[in-house]
Amino acid sequence: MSRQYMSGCQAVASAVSLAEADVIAAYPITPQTSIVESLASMVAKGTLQAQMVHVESEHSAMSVCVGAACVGARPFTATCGQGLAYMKEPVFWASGLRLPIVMAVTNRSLLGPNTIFCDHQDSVSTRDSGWMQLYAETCQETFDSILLAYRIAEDARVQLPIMVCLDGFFLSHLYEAVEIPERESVRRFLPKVPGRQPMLDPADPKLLNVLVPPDYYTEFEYDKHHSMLQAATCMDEVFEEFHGGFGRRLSRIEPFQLEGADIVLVAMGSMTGTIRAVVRAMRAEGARVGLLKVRSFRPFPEAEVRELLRGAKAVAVLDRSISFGSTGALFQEVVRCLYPVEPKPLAIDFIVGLGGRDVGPATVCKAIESTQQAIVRGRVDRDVMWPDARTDLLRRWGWETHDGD
Amino acid sequence: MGIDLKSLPDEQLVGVGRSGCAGCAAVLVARLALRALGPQTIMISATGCVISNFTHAGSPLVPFMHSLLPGAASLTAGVDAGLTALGKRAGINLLVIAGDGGTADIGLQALSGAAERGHRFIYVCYDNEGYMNTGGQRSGTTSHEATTATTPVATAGGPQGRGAGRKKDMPLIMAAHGIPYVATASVAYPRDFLRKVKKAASLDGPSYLHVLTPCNYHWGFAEGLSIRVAKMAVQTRVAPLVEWEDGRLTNISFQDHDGRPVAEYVKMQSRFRHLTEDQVNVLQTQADMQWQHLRRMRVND
Amino acid sequence: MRVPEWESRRPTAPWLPVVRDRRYLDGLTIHRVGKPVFTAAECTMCALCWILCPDGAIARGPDGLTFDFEDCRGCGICAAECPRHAITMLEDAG
Repeated sequence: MSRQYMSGCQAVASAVSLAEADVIAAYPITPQTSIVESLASMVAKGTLQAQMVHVESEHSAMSVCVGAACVGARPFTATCGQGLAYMKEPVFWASGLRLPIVMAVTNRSLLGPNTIFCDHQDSVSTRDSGWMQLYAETCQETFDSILLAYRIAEDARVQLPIMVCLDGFFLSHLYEAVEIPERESVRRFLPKVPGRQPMLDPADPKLLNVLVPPDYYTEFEYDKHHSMLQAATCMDEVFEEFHGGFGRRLSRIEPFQLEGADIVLVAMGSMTGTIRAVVRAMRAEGARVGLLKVRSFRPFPEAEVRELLRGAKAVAVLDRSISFGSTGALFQEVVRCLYPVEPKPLAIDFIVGLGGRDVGPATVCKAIESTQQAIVRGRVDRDVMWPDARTDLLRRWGWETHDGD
Repeated sequence: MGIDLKSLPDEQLVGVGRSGCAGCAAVLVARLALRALGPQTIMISATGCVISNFTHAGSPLVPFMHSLLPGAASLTAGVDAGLTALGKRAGINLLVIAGDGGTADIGLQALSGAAERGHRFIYVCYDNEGYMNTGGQRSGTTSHEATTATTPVATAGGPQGRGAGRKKDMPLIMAAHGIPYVATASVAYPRDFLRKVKKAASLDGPSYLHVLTPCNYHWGFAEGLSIRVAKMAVQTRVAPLVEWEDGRLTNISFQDHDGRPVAEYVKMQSRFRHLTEDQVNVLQTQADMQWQHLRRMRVND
Repeated sequence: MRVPEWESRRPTAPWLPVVRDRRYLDGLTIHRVGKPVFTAAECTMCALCWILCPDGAIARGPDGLTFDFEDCRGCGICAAECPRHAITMLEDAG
């Protein structure tokens, strides 16, 4: 085991190398490029035995991964932003084919308008795809999540593809110390032969991707949905085993100082680190706040979230995405969890950090303050707020803004 | 110079039963390719006429996968890379069958990338000059002036629509990639077709075969004439039979006779029924220029 | 549409074993355009009809060619291409 100083992208590449991926197919897109460059370097040096397929588009990247998985190879790809959008067709296809593909997504906003910077719009826009999604906070978590991803995806009860999401620039380009385990211990945790028979094999000819008529389609989708729900159990088991083997405990959700919290902040990704620091500081001053970090967004840890939020007076969701005309993605999940709870906590969605805007302590404090005011009023006036918006600019644009917007 | 049919095994690599149009030459293209390659073959086909007729009835008896329409070549690249990574690539033919839509239009990018990267596969494009599986819409390889569902030419009253634009020259595009082998082939010359597929299978890299494939339903002729229309396409030099190796044109087959007038090809098909004499002359000029161009490109002329 | 393989076991992914029988053709009537009449005496076993049949309805064996009318769609390619005119097409109403 060694400790190395590396970026989030390099952590992905190190993990993929230790996972001994067979086929790597990726198209360059900022800020994912270092992942593929690192892997190319490892292949060139001979430390990673893999076929690198320098595809001409992201659509092809995912199709190559599908083809490789269908003959029993272990694929890997990485993308983000409009690259993820370009591969939307084969992304949905991969989960329908029940292939255990692992993809790193260096979260980047989906164009609208043009940007290269971070938010979760890209991955949350594919939340319906049948892919599992894990969100990382640190470089270590990023590294660990890749190893965990292969293990979970290839489990016979699951057999679904999985995205490991790391915030673009904020995590992809963040340098931290990462513990890298020995190859042998990774091999024990992640055996190379996942027990999956190749689907394309002249010794046992099959027709793959046949048309599924209406008489069977619903049942295929039920199978996928319930396999994803079963993945939650599988994840818990695998996280436990990972803790035993490597000493680090990851979980589908990570509560922090929720005991007696009046206000619970819910968030995912790198901003949870900042939120934790704010919570720690405010607790020290006697405020009753806590953080519920969501790591597994798909499958969503519905029962756990409901139980942990049950006692709060108010829930402040910090969403790094927005479904225009509605709310952010995490808020919708949280509110669904809270639906059967009586009495219901108040719930506010704070849209933050879009298009690369840093989520700093000031933004977190503002969200907490607005939530506190709602508790005092006894009601939520606006359930979608924009605490980091430049209200003076918006006013010059002709918008009427509110306090704490 | 073609394969002796007696050398082929009696058994087909396609199961019993058929769905689809009577006289369909596209399915014939797939059957011929499988006959040439044998059972150690993995077959990939993009959405289109072949996939629609090649699953539950008349199923291939080799491993078969239906790819996304834009991604026949990219799925193939993945299979090639995966088998190579696992040390299982040797001795397996990788056959890709796609229509003109999945090759020249939406599939062009993936095909170009896979060809440029040098994966080992045999790509056969059945060019029936349109999106026939979805009702006969025009594609990038539809013959100049042909009427299609989306380039309809009014034949009775009303304003005259225009037929399809110029036909995209896929064989030339693929030859420009410099891949080991590019050839045009025809169902009307099955022994030559089989020879070309076998040749492609022997090479360690990408091969591309372009097969002009008459569609009796949308081109407008009787089911039993599919082979005759295909033969006329070759004899009028609308679809000459040529071979490129590593980007150099090395062979033009069946060129001893003079080309028959393109009008003879045109009059066999009701999709050209509306053509004026001037428009037929344009098609003749295109065929003539293509022929001269090919003659000039051939390396040992 | 009934898929026998999916009735008896969970497929998980949308795949089938290759189909070697007529399980999907049960109850389907194939509309035949015509019916080939084969005169074996004229046949030289050039096997062009065998290689060109889009339906694979012509089998080649040690005793010559046999026509399988269950798969034949009656397109008439065999008749059009036989160099010996050993095949003629009859109109088939069935």
